[in-house]
Amino acid sequence: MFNSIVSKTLYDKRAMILAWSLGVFALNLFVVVLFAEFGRNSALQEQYRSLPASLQAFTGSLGIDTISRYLSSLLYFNNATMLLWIMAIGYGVNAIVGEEERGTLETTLATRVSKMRFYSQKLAAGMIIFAIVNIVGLIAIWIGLALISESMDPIRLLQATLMLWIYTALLGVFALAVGAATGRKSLTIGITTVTIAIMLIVYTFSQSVSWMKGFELITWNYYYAHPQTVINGLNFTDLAVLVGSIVAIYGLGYILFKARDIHN
Amino acid sequence: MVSAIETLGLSKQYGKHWAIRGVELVVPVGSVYGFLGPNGAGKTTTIRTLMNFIAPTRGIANVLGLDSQEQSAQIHSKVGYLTGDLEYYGNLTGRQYLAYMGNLQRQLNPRNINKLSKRLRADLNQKIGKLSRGNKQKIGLIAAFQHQPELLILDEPTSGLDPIILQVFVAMVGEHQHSGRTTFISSHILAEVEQMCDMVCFINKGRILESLTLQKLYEKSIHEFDVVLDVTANRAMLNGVRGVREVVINGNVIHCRIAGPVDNFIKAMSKQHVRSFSTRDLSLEDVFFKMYGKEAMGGV
Repeated sequence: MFNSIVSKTLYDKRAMILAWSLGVFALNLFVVVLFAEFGRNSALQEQYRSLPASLQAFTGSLGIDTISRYLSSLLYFNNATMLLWIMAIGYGVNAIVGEEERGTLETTLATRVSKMRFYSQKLAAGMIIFAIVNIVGLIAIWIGLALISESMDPIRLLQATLMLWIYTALLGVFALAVGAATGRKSLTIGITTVTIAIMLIVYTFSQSVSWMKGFELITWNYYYAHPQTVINGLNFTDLAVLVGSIVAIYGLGYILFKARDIHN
Repeated sequence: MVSAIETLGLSKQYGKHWAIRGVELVVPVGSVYGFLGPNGAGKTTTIRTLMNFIAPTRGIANVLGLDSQEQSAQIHSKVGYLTGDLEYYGNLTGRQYLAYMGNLQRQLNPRNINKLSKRLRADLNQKIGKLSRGNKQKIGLIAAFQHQPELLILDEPTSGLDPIILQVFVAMVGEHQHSGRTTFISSHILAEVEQMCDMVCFINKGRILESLTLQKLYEKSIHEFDVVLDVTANRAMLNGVRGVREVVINGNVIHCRIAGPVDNFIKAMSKQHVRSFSTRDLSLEDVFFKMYGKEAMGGV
């Protein structure tokens, strides 16, 4: 039935994949369809523009007057991203630490499966799960656009979804690596959420607080959000930074996982 | 390769506490090697080090001629491993679990799985999460034996098994040995080890006390007897019996301990009219105390 950790993990996570896919589908569809209300409402546009820059920063400071700005602000910068963060962190935290706390990590490692294989296949399963949910989200956007008779460059949407997938994977691999390094669930949740929250705060406030200018460069949010892929298309330098971060975090996590004892 | 397992100065420290210290083991190929010690003696730590689940603070371990830390995946492909508290994927049936483990080992042997499940009377169609501890342990035994590994490493494998299945397990270990393979089995039950092993090693407080053959163990072991006679007992009835210790005679009851072989004592008693005869298994702590004294028990 299962011949790899990837297939077993996908089987175990089938309910999670379904639930997150449905959630992201509903959210994306809802947000796109609401453009008819928000994007075409001049009073709302005016209100948005009258917000202080610091508040506009929470939605990427793009405005909501065109469908691409609206999607960039409300979906790719905010709602969908937040939802996918939770999914990525939840998966990453449970992938190794969850198995370790249940004792099944030791059971699996008692076979010829090495720590490297286990760790890599858990990452691969995560990448597949994140891809499925992101593709479902993209389909929801397309359906939503058709429902409100709007159109967008499909290549831009694909590129934005690719960026979001890489960004989700980055957060997932960070949680996975912290879990692999520590073997403790509460510690993993703590380190992961604090790190991501600090990055979000630094990125958001560096847009409007003068003394924080430049600090955004040390956050992953910057490399994900500032290219505004839905509007401008893929920026390969930013993509490379995110992919490089994934590789570096993955490598560091493996080194620490290999060096530590398995808890029982 | 002469030794299936060989350790040199194997030690593991947690903070200031040494879980094992200077463990030296030589387990010959083809042997059934018992690793005996009370709870907390260091058996599981030693085994988890051999399996590379934990890294030793000092020392080295070779399993099947391979370095336990650098070549653990290769080692695991040749090892069948089971612990008394092994965790399974509760959402899978026994058959799904065994197929998954066999696939991960790249040595799935469905014919052997069926044969072993019949022998152990294991239900492979139930979800593992719904099985009793003993039935889960049967699944673990099948997983350990199914790929006919060169070496079995079994940590308290009999926990939860009923007496009939225990005897099946004993027979399986015997067959494994007859095919020239090795079994390393840890236990805190002396009688079980006596039944299966040809060599035993005692560990306590993280240190190896002694490694000896089963014959030597019999010579050193101590058995406790209560014999009720039809007539009043006296000390002379035990004349010529070797290894008699701590005799208490109370009316027609003889209570005594015999060190070493008990054949002599049984023959002496058979000359009397015996109303009842009972022997009591000493706890491992008692055996340790009697064999190695207070020092081995850490002053307990």
